[in-house]
Amino acid sequence: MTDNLQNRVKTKEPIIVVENVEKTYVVGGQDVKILKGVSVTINKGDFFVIFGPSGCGKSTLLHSILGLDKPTSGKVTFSGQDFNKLNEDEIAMFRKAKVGLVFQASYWVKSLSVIENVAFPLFLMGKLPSEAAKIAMEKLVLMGMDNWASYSPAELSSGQQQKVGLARALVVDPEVIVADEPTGNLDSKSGQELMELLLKLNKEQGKTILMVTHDLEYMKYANRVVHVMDGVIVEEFDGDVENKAKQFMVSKRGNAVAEGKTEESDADYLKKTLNDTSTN
Amino acid sequence: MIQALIELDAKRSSDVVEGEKKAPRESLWSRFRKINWKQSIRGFFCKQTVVKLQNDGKLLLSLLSFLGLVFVFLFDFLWKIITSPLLVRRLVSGKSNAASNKFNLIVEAIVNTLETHDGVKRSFLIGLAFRNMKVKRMRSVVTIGGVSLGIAAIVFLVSLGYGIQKLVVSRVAKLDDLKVADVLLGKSAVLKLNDSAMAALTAIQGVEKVLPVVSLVGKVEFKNSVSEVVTYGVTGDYLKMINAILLKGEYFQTDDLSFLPAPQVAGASTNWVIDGANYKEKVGDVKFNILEGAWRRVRSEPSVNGEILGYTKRYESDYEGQEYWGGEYDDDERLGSIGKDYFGKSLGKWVKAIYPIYEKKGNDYVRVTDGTIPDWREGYIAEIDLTIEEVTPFRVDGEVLGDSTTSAELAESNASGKIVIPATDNEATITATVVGKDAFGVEWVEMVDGEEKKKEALLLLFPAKAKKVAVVNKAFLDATGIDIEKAIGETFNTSVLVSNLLKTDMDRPARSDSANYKIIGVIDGGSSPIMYVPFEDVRGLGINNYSQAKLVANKPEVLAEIRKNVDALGYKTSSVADTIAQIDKMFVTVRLLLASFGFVALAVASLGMFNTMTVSLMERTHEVGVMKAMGMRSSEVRELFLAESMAMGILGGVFGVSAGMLAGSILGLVLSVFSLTHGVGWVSVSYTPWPFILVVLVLSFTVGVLTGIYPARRATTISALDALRYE
Repeated sequence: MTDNLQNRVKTKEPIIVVENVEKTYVVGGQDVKILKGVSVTINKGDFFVIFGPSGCGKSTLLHSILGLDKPTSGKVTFSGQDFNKLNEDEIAMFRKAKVGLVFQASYWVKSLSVIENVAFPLFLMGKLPSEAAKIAMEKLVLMGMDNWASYSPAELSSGQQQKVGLARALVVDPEVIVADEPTGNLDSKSGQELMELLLKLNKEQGKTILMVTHDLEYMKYANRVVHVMDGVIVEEFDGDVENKAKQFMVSKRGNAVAEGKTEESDADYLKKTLNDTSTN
Repeated sequence: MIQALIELDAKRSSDVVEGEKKAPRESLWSRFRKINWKQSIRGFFCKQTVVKLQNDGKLLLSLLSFLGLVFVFLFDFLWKIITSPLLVRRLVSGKSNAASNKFNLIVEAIVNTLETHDGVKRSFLIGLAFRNMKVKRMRSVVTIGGVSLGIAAIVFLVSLGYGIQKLVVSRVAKLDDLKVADVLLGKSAVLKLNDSAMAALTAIQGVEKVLPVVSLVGKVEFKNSVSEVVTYGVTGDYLKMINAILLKGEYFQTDDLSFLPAPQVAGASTNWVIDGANYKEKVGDVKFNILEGAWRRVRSEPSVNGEILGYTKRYESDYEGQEYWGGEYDDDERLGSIGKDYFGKSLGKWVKAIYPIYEKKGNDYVRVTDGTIPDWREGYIAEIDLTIEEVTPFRVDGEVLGDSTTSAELAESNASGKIVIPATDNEATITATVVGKDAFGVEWVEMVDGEEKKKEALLLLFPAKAKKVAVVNKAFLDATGIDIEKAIGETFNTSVLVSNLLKTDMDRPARSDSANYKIIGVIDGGSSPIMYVPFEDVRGLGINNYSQAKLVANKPEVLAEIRKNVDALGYKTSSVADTIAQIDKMFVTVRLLLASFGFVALAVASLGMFNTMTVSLMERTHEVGVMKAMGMRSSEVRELFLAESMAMGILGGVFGVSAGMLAGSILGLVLSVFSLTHGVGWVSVSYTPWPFILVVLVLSFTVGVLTGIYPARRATTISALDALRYE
């Protein structure tokens, strides 16, 4: 597995380039700097994880990358397109062609069935219903959700919903799949399943995957990780991510042992720790 | 980049145009292209304006096609509702598959032509809007119901206004009455309603016919009762026009021509006695002139053998002279041999006056002068190429001098004792003794009883061919005591009083002889006794001026114009149309009032709909966010919400109109139950004109759009990001 990852990293063809992005929100009359000059380059074929505690600015970074949110300063180039030079609708058109989105909680068009929701991005591209349904069904089969096609999305479990969400992200055959805390609402088994699916897509279809998470457990699937904290990138791991992650966990755990909190699992412990950091 | 996108845009819009082959679009586009070409030469910065123009044009077209699509979907939706009941489906089951397939194909074809060719398909957006309505079924039903209720209130109330107006108008007048106007004499003493006036009225464009009426006072004797009744001499057509309900019998028949016989007067002719004229006998004073360019010979005698004094021509002011009988001459109008003397020799009319005299020299005419004074001479000219303005008859018409004797034999025994009148069917004759002839050939008669009778009312005889039938009203029967069941065929004795206004050759009122009239018809209506007798009968009495006339237009629309023309002639007109115009005017106010009540209901419903749309937007903030994050454009989001509110508005309109009309019919039905038990017949209190329905549908659609604009615009401002953050 690591060999494959290494090979892919070697090609190093940048698809998303973030240069010195800053983002300031005005909250209660006060300027709050969320991103303080972040620069990241994501290459084609990467399984890229943005990792960090809640409120650290990782979601803001993701939104900037997707063009959903305009940075206060800095530049985002996606597939050679400078978002600063496009208007909202143009970015929307760009997004629907290039990016597949998976959300933390899958939001649905409630009046549509599972297959119609999956086909929705195709409808947005002006595809005919019959054609759209065919492609959507293919993706559902890929996710193993074809038996649920005519259900309403609300009738599915959250794990199933995320699979359908992934199918929806795939339906336009995007270059990049962006997942914003996709495992956030899932139990560990479902989360595992989803991550395996993402990895499969990354490996077998060469999709670039950009994932935001605060769960260290899933870091092992990535080939590149950035650790964001308080609006800056504090660490960046390349290559042997799994070991780095373990080291990271252990170092954190070391502190915890000193405080006498050994009962918890590594993951749970780390989560808690990171949350503590954010509240401080 | 922007540059590239603009070009892409332009290319796309040209594709759209070429794809759809719509002429106005093409011309619009070619205009754009022209500007585009010019601007690109001039400079880069002007391109912005071109783009703006393009966008505006595209926006308008896209809105129109969007509207079309919404309608297609609505039609589809309603069709499905109509065909959904099993019964209907079973009824058309034989063909239903083929038919529905065909229907679907048609719908698809229409949808495809209206579809935009970039971005999301509009049919999908509209379909989605319908789906959303379906999911929130209860809410949609309540909202559409609210709008329906408001629209129904308007339709019901205004229809009621229209219905009651129609009811009132129908009670006031039949549809045919709007074609009819009464022509009355004003206060003018000069105007007369005589045969020439009838002809003038009939000649007005759009007049179908003019029916004269003669009002008289009739003295009716039946058995021992004597009563005075209003008597109208009318034609059968007239009776059909007056809207009376014929209770028994029938109306008398008269054809149009029969009411215009040549006027015949007993006693003396109203016309110049053309037979028995004398050579060089004066006819009357005339004002005349010679036609432009014509030259007339001036003769010393009224004869072609007379000495020619010279030539004369048109004079600046009219000539004044006298008309004389003279020798026969040839002319086109046969005036040259119009009269006859006692020996049967033909006589012609000549005009005597003082004329300016010219001499004929070759082809020219030279004024004859006596030294310096131009020559004027008295002479006669034949009535050729003359315009005669007026003739004052020198000899007045004969007068009826008194009561007749019954001694017809006397008149017959004396060859010259009978006054000469051209024989006609409707001749009324008074026999009298001829006492002499005056210088002008008028035979003066003396009645048997002599001078004393002269002061009494003159007696007029009904013509020999008088029909002597009458149509009377119920009040007449009550007044005379005739039993209605036995009325038809009953005869009564009557004589009528004829005013000298009606018969201009009399100096005082005259009375007709009494005749037995047979009742042939009984009508309802009128509280005072009225009797209608055939027009020919009273006409035969010598009446030549009519009391009034009923004018019938060929269609109601032209009546106003005709009345203007009639008024211009100096007559007064009155018509039920005036009353109806008043009623209409009043009901416009009533309808406005009723409609404003309905509008209150609609306003409340609109607020409800606005609320629903806003709440629905709030609920779907996430959904909108997700759609936007997945790449849906703001305009598409707006269309989605607009489609929903438009559909709701139109559905509300369709159901509302149906409900309003249904409510009107039900009310009519309920009232009819009461009215039928009271024997009044069906009443329909509700009437909905088609244009009104159309207006209401447009109104409901407008309400839909207006209530949708705000939520739709708000939806576009939802950021994909906010939607995703929202928990």
